[in-house]
Amino acid sequence: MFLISFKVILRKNDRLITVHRKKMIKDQKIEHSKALLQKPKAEIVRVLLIEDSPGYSEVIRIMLDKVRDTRFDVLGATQLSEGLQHLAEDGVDIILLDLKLPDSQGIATFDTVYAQAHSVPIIVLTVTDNDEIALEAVQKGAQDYLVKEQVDTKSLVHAIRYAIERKRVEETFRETNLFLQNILESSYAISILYTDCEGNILYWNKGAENIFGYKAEEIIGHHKADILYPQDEEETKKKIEEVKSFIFKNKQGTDCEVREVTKDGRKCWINLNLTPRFDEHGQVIGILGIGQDVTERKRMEEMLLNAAQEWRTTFDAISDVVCLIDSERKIIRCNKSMTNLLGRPFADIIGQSCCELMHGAREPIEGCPYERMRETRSSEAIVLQRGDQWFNISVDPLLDEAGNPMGGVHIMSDITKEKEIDKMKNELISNVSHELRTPLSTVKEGIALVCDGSLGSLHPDQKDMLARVKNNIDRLGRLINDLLDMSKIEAGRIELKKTSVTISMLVEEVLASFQNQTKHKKIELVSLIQKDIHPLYIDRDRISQVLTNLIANSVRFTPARGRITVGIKENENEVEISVADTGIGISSQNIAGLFDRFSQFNRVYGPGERGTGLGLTISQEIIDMHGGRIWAESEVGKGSTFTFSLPRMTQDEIFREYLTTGLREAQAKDCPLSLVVIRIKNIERLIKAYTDAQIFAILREIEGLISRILRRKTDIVSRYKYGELIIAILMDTAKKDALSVQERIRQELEAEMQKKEWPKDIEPFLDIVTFPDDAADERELVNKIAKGMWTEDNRKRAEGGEDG
Amino acid sequence: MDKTRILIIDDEPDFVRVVQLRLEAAGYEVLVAFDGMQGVSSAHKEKPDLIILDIMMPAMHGHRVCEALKKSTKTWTIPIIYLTAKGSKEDEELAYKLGAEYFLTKPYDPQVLLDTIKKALEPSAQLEKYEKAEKTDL
Repeated sequence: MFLISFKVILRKNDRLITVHRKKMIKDQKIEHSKALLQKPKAEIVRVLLIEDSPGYSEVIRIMLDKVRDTRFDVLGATQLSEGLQHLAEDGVDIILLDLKLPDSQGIATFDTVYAQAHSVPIIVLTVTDNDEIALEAVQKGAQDYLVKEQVDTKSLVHAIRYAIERKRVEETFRETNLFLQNILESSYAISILYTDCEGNILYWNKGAENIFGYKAEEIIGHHKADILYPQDEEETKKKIEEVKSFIFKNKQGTDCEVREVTKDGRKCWINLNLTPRFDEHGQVIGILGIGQDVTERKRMEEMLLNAAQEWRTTFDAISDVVCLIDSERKIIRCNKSMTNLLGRPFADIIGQSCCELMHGAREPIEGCPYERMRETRSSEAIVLQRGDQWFNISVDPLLDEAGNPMGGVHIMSDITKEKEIDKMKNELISNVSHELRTPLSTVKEGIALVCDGSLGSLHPDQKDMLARVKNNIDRLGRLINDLLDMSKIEAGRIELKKTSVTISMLVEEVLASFQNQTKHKKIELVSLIQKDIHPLYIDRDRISQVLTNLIANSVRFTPARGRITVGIKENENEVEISVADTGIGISSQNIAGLFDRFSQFNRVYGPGERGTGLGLTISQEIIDMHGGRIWAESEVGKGSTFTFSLPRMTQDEIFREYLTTGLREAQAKDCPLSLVVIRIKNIERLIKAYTDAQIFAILREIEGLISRILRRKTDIVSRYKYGELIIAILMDTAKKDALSVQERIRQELEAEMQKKEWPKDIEPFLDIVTFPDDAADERELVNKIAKGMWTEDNRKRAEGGEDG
Repeated sequence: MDKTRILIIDDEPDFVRVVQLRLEAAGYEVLVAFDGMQGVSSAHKEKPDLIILDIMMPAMHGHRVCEALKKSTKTWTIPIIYLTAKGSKEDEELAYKLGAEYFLTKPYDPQVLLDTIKKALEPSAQLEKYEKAEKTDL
């Protein structure tokens, strides 16, 4: 059946294009036709009968009159011209056309009528021997033909009804096709073109005109390749060939992106969807191409791609190891330096846990900057050694658009070289300083021997000259010491040896060492520090060094008859020790850089020794290490005050600090640690009988005595329980050795009690607690010290108590 | 009564000379050795009352000298005072561990040196050492 077909015939450019119709439309049409045939409605059908034989016309009229359910209004015309006139003036539903008329014969008659009444169905009337012409008419657009001799009412009505319905369906199709064609034509931004199998262009829509600049009439019939991708577009040609062979092979459409050339020579990227068209045997007969200009998109893509590539290249070019880590510590991105460092490909690194990959640990390492960053939400850094290499690892928070943390950026810089240079520098300074010391001490001692007359008497001028030489040698010695200190500080090699120090005594000692110098200049040295200030837990030598530095500066810049005062201020958590002078002072602009290295702050030198320029820097470092601060206040012409603070600790805190440090060392070295605890058994009664000051003084004297008895440098005497207990901490001492120390203390103490005028009823009691024999850790040690369980007496008493 | 005898073990002849003069001026008799080996044999032969020892020396390092002297039953009672330019904490700790009595650094203060010598020669210091020795011998 040619009528109900899957394909709709389009007439365009005199060529046939087959377009698939939706099956649904087809089904609808069938239903509609069936309804018309089965239930004819009472209607008027206007028939134009163009027939030169009046008799036959009458036969037709009679036949049609017989039909009951339909009224046929028949308009008659005996000549073609008359028929055409009716067509022009009156609307008709169907034309019954005899091809042999007085004014026109044969197929020409049909052509003329069809040309004028394109939309009216035509049934050709013919005689038996004229089938061929009738068939030709049907091919050209007639709906049907009837052989005059065979016509009866039934076949006539049937033919008329079919013809009308067929025509209506055809018209609907035509309109639909027109609509589709309009869409094809009018899609401005989408090029639609159709080529035969060779690539010759058969259809070219407005969109294609718009994109490529060629009019349909210019391009139709040309080969696509000649126009759209000329010689130099080899790549496009190749791609199109590939796509085409795919289509022919698989008999299905596909997509591709190709570069094509417009009429004005612009190269544009087209996203092309190619669909094959088949003939009834399933052979591909042409290809429909729907294209879109994606040049702009492509350009953006390329830009993005370039940017990404550029970023990648830059990222990889960074010699530091950079990686991004997500909130689960997994590496989400890293650069080439990291793959080089680990000697593993990207694929092995991405997604791995940082802890495992970098440290071979399940949990974050101690001091992990990433973990710290998560707490502080700001940059953190750490210096780590990995094999022979040193790295500075910094982590910055990685935030999402809303500013929420989503991970971190790790940057790992190789600082091995810096470390090496630093080490070399420090070693150089250290070695040079050491090498200088021996000759220096020879010179110094040689001069001193001559100077003090040990090698015979000197002329006053000689003596004066040698004294000057000696001063300068001393200065050289100080400079070397300062340089050494500085290099040690920079190398982080200074470790504080903190002990409990009575600060007033320390200050007195330092001041005493300046007696000779200040006596000469008539400078008054005053310490305002009371004797009963709580001991400080500090490195005695280092704080002495700071005090010496500050006082030496004051002496240097204080004119004769001046005054230097060392004072103290006790705050809640710290003490402030100040060295104030009545010297020349420092201008405010010099105060800022006072603690910088080698800043000699342009102070005018008085007579006497010069500084090294390192003293204040070293002092600052030492105070820093103690957790204190140092600062200067000054008024030009009036004097300067240098103050440093040191954290305050109670006696008990100091004792615990000693104990912790000692135990840590004992555990590390796997050696015993013994404590000799000295308590006054009847202290409660003594407290009632004597003043606090008296008891305090006695306890202090006992402490001093024990300090003198213990000769090893590592032995420490401390106080605990608000000073009631005096405890000797003996490193690397087993219980039996501690017993002999205890015995010696007992003897010395008894002798001392005889000598001193202490209350006669004082009952000192000695006790020993040893790690690890008596206690496995610090807590146990402290408990046993407090309870005093480890004397024979106490043990017996405790056991007796249990029995009772 | 004989003079107290002090042995100086140091490879710097000039330095040894000035220390010698200083000690002689203070009334001591001075013996000298210019390297470690010589020092150890001299200590054994002469039995000085005190030894002043340098660290960096040819033939035998100061710490090894100290170790040898403190391990020998003939010399272990002789107090040793280190007098060295190599004044690092590690050296000081090692010196005490090896049994040295005092540790001084160059350049030295003559008064401090003389005081230290005096302290090292005090009978109570010696007594403690005997006690210590008894304990270790047990």
